[in-house]
Amino acid sequence: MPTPTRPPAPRHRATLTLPLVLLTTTIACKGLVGGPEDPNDPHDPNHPENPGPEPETGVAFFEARCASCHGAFAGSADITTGNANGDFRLDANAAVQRHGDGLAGYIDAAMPQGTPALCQGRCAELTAAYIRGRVRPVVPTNCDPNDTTTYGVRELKLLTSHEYQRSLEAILGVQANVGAAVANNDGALGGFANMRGKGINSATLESYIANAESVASWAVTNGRPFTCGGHATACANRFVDEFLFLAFRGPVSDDQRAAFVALFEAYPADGMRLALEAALTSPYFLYRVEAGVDLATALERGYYTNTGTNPGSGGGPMGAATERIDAAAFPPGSGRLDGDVWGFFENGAVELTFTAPFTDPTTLEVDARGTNHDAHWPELTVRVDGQQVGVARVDTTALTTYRFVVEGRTGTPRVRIEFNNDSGVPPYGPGQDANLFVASVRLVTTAAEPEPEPEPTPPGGEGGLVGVDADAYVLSPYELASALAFMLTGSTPDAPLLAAARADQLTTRAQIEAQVTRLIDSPHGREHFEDFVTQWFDLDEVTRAARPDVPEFTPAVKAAMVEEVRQHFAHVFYEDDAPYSEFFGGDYTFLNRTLADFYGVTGNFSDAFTKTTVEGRGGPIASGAFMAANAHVERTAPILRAVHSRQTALCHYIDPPNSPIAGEDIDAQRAAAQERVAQREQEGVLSSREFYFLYTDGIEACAGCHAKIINPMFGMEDFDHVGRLRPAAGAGTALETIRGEEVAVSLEGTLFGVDSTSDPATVMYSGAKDFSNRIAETDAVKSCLVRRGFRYATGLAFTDRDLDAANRESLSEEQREAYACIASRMTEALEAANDSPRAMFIALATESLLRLRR
Amino acid sequence: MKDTNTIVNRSRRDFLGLVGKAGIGAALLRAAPLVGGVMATRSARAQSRGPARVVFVYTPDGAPNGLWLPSGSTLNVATQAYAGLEAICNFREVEVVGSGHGLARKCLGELRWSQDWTSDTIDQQVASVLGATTPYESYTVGVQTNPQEVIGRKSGDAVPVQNSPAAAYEQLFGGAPPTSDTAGFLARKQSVMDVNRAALAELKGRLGAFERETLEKHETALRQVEQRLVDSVNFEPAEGCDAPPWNAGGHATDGGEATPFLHTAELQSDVIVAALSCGLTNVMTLQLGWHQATWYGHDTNYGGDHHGSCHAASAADNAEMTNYLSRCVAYLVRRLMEADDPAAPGTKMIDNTVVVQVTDMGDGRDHSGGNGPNMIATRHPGFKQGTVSSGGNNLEVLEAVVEGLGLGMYKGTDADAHKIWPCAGGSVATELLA
Repeated sequence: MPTPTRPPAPRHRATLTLPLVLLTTTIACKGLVGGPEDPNDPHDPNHPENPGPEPETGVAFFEARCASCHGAFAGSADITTGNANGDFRLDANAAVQRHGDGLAGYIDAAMPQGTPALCQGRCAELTAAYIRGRVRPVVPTNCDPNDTTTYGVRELKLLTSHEYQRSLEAILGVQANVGAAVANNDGALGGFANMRGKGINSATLESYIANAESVASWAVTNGRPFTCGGHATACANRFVDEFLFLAFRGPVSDDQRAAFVALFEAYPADGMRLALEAALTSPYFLYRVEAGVDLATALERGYYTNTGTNPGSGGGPMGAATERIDAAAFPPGSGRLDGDVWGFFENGAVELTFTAPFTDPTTLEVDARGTNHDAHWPELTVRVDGQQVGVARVDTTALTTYRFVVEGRTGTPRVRIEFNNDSGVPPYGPGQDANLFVASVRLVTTAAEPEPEPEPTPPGGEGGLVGVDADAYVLSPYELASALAFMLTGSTPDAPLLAAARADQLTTRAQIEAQVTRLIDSPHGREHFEDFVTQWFDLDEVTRAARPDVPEFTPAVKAAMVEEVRQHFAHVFYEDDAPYSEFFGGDYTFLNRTLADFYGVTGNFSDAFTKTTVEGRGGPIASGAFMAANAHVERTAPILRAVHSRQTALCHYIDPPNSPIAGEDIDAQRAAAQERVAQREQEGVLSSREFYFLYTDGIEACAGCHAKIINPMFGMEDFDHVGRLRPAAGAGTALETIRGEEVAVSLEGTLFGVDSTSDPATVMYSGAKDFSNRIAETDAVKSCLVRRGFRYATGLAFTDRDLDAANRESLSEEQREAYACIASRMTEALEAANDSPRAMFIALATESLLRLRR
Repeated sequence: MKDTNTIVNRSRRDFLGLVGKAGIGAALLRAAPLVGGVMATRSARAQSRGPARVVFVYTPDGAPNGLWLPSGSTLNVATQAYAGLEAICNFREVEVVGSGHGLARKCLGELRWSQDWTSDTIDQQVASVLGATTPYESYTVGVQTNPQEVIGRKSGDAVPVQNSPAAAYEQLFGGAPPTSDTAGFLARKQSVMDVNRAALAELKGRLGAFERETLEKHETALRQVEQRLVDSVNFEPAEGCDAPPWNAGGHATDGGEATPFLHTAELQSDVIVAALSCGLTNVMTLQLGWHQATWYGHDTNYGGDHHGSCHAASAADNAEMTNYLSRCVAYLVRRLMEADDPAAPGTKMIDNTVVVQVTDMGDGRDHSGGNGPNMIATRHPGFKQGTVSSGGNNLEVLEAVVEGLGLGMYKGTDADAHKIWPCAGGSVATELLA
């Protein structure tokens, strides 16, 4: 991370060892400090701001007079690093856009803030020229369409609590919310959950261990992942081959296999439970490993050669797919559901049909147990399309897995589970003797033989390794499968994806795109992209909003508000005829009965969400969730609405209002503002718009943001503090009720700056939905989707503007250029598919930076 | 220059010697939660300087100028909650360096950017010394904090905050091992850990230097957890420490926003006092909310959230909300005054524990840094009591805390020899020291 260049230490101050940078920065940004002979002359040699000898160049002036607040331009960046806190980043593009030819004049008159005399005349001219020289084109111009090879970042990251929970659900069917126990260790980057830089300490590890113990105990009780029916070693190997392959997202080393086998053999009665505890606390489960191997090793191992084999992957075999039917899902037949098993108390059968097609061979696994009469135990018979494939004597009261290999069958034949040897021996009659109980039946198919591809190994940008830099690292196919799964579903890779990795079928763009499409379109994929919009717009904040004066603002209503926006986003994401612009500009939203009742929308609603044409609301901004979250107990929060709508919908960066901007007269100005409010309230109740305007108007230190960027946007007051639309009070006004009194409030607003807070474009609007409609088709909204989408999917910042200063991120020159080209391709994909976010994410997921790392 | 590592290691050797005399394996480096806590207590008792503990308490958004600092012995509007505690409190208004939104970690002294201890917040640095002989080096609890702002930093990583008093209580005092077949229980758990230890070693070998530090931290954590487990099966917890009494008020213990802020703060304070008394740690951090201050006072006249009281209410409203936070801190101080100190019979916990209140702004109403409220409450002999002062900055207060605790020898800028960074460059608020 580049260090901001510091001005020379003021001569009158005592020498401090540390932290010189911060103290100097603070003082420099706040203005004068005592000590010089003439405190008003910044050129006095003893003045703390005196920079010493006069600089010669624009960059020298900048470093001497500006960098203490703005930081430095790193490499070829067009935005500075900001001060030690990451504040006051200077965007060269925005500065030139805003001031045009008047940039030097602006610097001359106003900068450095508080002491403009320090940079006037020649200083201002050269500094302005230097800033102009930092301007970079917004749209990259040197992207080679024939070379799309790009590189991501090697990573070893803990699972987020959400990924951890999803993975447990996927591999074991866990229902309890165990992720909550480790959620306090979650990290974030750029507003999205991200574990980069997070580690495990002893307290966190204890939480993982406690979770693993409870999950393991539950799993064993419920026969998950399967019930050991025989030899400990066989059970252990099956555990490694089937369960660990899923849990560890790839094959297990021989040493790890031996360790787990030893565990089963040492504790035969407890092996499954202990093995599960070990698996769920293993680093192979807890970390996403996306480190890869060097290119030479990858080539040696034959990665991405598309020959249908994956010789470098090692490990044991597994079935390509597993489908399971539990007793609770058995169709009506003989017997009945008895707890969580199907009880055959008399001779009889049930017939099952799987959706997955049989392969040749296919294995049917039946979890069953029995009760005996003396030495008479039940027999389990399995038929496929009427043909008997096996009979097993179920001679144990413990759930045990019985396997039947079926050969020569494809398609979806009928599977029949039969109990045929009910004894009925006197004095015992039917139902009082040997019985058969079946818990579940699993269909385990085998991977199909891949067809060899006739094409040569494709280049790096197209899925292979040709032309990849020698110092690059290449993810193994299993690591790539894991990266794709978490990127597109927030969960561990499923069996088909792992099978594709095993068969080296994640090589060509077409192969990857097939998996990507499947994952995105899966239920987990849909949920994952709904989570994207939830985190992006911080929708969950509404669930924490307390409004005691509105008892009907219940947890159910709040949850429905979140779902409303999630459903809307899913609609524009998945529906080809719904372009992204409808997310902001559509004339509809998604309502269920709960929400419709709360909003006062009439119609025929159920508990399911349906697309509903409405006026005045729709999209992430003009929504109950956004408006209720950006409000207070008895008032709305027009400041929060203005700032958050810019930050979320347009990706604008707004400096936090921190201490260096406070002025000397702020106490008096603030007191005057309070006096104005008090006087006006004597005349009558103040609308929230006027209330907050009066508090922030006339305070010089705050005007930089409030006068131009925030307060003019106070035109979203058509929504009350719980997200309902207020009644109109005439054109462009609404009625607000404060402490039982009504007051008219204007809905007129102006957005100054669309692409950034500095660009000259303006948008005038009346009300939140009008604001949303008018920005819907702007490039800024589209660009923000691309930027946020890239961050969510990869965890990386797209541009310097997206860097998370609080977490000390930085971009190399190579990354800036490469990511700019990726952004360009993502935008092309978005626009080529009727502005489809789905197409955009597919394009991103097929980029080589997933597979190639540095 | 003194080798503070040697000093800390000697403390550990003394501790282990005591453990050996007690008939427990001398190979222990970290004891199990409860048995370790007892042994740490006995060790502290044997020290000539007595036990030393500290609780850092973060309150957001400073205080309204002119309404916090007492005048002589007369409390102010925002400090009314300390009535009856004036004699042991030291109130000081300071310049809060690097103040503002999202900068809470800076008020705990995090001013540098690095991946080693030199950028740790002060609570972690102090814990590296005071926590050498306790099961937990430090522990952080919170009330309605937010993942966007976590106050503690250790080795460049945010220190997790436990917002649920129930979860904190369970982790610190729950999870007792079975009383029968303890050997078998221990063997099984260690077998599981051995598998994971092997996996970590294998992964380290596979990745080489890449993320080695991350995996080594994981290995350290595994070692610590195993040590705690080893001793927990062979030891009886000290009286009252297997299930310390708490929650006399019968409040909800999940720390959710439906529970009044003060009630959760009280529960967390109960956890703090119990953890310190049982020797589980000597350093705790209590993060009360976060900079956006979205919490509400449940019995305040002002009905908005704390943030609203800063920007859209009167100074009196803001002072009331600030005093609400003072009530949270005052509860902790009173509990420490009531609780006997097992490590120093005849004394109370407050005699050997320092409560340090820090904040991220001077006056939250304009985010300025001046007149920032800091407070130290203790009867520890290293500190004065009952003072009111102003001047200097908050970092000098933190350096005073280090000096007052007798940890000055660990302070310095030599990464190899020191453990506590002089965040104020060596400048100390000596007005707070005895």
